[in-house]
Amino acid sequence: MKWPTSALPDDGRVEFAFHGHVDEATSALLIEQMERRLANSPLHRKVMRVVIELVQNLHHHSPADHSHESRFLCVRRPNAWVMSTANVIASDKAQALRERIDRLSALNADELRAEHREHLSNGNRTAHGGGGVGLLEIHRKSSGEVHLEFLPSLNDSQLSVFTAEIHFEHG
Amino acid sequence: MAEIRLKGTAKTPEVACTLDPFVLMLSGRSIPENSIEFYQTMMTWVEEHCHAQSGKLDIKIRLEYFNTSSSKCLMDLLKRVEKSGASAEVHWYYEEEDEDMLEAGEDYDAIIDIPFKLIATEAL
Repeated sequence: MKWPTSALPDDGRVEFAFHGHVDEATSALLIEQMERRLANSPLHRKVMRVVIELVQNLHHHSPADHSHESRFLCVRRPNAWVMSTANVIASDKAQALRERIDRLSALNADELRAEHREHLSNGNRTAHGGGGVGLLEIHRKSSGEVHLEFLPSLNDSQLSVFTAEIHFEHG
Repeated sequence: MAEIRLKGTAKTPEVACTLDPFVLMLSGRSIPENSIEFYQTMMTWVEEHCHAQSGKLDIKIRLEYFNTSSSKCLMDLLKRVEKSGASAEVHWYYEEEDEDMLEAGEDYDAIIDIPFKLIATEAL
């Protein structure tokens, strides 16, 4: 599994990288390690909120049989934090994810907030309890700097590479 | 159960639900993978006591981080208090420079029909 070059900016420094199966214990470890790395850094709380959503998403979408590994990468650029995740996704789910992210990316901050409130107040929940709020939160915290790429993977699946950037001036 | 007292962990908040004083308090971080299970005891406590108690319930929330699953549970918890008709007030604490947590408090305040106090602190 290779990262697309867009996830590894030339002017960045890799702060943390992980490659492997993500289960609950790994998820906790990744969050703990990221918190240590980010301590006293600009916008560390905002970045940690995105990290928590990204890492727990990787866990929720990891196959229980360890058949596919996932990746998590955190890069510090001069003016931004860049977090990327990569995991294998079934091709039939990729299009729905693409459409949802494109739709959220077209919303401005006020529209994202209004949609967030709507999702928060309705009683709907996903299988993992979030009610579809996770992607919205990542968009809000990243001020819309969210990118999704799909790379060919195994049969009937694609490698989903999700990147969120938090620029210091957004703090 | 009359009281709930849970120590905080790396993933779950410190919790104190008491009848005297009538308080529901959450403090720390709430990022468990299974938030529904964690919040269930508090939901039950609210169901059992909000109808029966005559005093005002003070809900004190001082969270550093919470995941989106917890945000839904927190909403469910506050809706149960609202639905019970009990007199209640939410004290939502946030660090004065933490605009995300301030906005989160404003979002709950906009949705829930319970008096809200948004309280800036120097550090949680």
